[in-house]
Amino acid sequence: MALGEGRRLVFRLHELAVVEALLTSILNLANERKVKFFKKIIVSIGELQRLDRELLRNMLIDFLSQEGISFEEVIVNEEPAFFQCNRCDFKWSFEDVRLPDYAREAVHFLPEAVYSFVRCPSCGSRDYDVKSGRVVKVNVEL
Amino acid sequence: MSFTFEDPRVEYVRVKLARLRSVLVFVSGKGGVGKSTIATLTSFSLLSRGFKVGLVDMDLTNPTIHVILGLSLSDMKVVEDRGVKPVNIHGVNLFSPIMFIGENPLPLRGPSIVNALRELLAISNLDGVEILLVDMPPSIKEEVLEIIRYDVKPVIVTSQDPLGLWSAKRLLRLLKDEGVSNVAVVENMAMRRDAILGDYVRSLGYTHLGVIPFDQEFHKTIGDVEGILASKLYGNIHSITDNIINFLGV
Repeated sequence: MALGEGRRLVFRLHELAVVEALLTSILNLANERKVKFFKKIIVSIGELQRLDRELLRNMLIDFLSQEGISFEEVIVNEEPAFFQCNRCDFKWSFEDVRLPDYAREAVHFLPEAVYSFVRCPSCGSRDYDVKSGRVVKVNVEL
Repeated sequence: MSFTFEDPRVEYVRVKLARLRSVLVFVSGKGGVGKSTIATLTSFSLLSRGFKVGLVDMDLTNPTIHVILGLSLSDMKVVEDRGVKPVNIHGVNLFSPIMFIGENPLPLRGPSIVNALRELLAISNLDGVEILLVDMPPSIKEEVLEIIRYDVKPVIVTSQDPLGLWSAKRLLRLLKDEGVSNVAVVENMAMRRDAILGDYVRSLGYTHLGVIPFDQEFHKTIGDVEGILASKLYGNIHSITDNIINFLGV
């Protein structure tokens, strides 16, 4: 049974896919180390995902509890997104970018869609690197 | 003691794909060999045999399956439901980057290609899908290296001309060297009925699915699903579907 099905809450959001990914790694670790308690779970999510951090944290806590995993603390951090142009070296942040709602929504689902909607503010190129803000990472302290 | 999972999506995608009955990925070393067309028509052929089918257009920078199926941008809207819901077209569940980028270009360098591929597989809602078909871009690089990390069965699509055959052999050698155990080859747009790569493919322990003759009229059906399903090409793919099902082991 997939997560969220037949449980107390039924989530319809994209955040669920991210929570499932996090939970898969955490539960694998719990099985491997034969532990049911973690001191700290720190999730880092890139700003490009634009996930609802509080919702994601609550969903993760809810699912961990349903799996019988306890913990002292669950933290969800957001890593700010920065770009650097490969043509002219200009650097800028996602915060500087103004996007219509549909484009923000697209980047939320598929962060690489940023290349479809954002161009270098200096030279207009789409050839730039996402230097930060694309991460999906979890650190677990036993 | 602490543990860091640099990208939990990899294990998640592995688990998610392992829940399916089979995952077929259409690859080629060279473009223009009809990979997207074969992947799309195979989806319908498997559907007609009673399988619940998902189809992913993983040609991230140049997706075209929606064009084959005659879907407009307004048909390709994102619906959020435990991830992203597929667009259902005559029973086939389609996922495409078009849902996110519309008609805008999506120029991706290497690491972004891998990230986008993982993300698309991670967010696709595959509930109810039994067999997933993934149409890959022409590549013997990161896309292929990434997709064979998972439990998938690659199908190499090749034309019968020397350039296509050369690329197919190179890709076969890569997959063999990487230890991929289930690989199949289909010769497409064929000008002769006999298989050129049959013996070579079997010598590697792989499967030759068959030869698909060139259908000069097929391009007239692009965008019209009824026309596609009435085409000679579809009939020819349908005739090798038993081989595909055997290869899938379902």
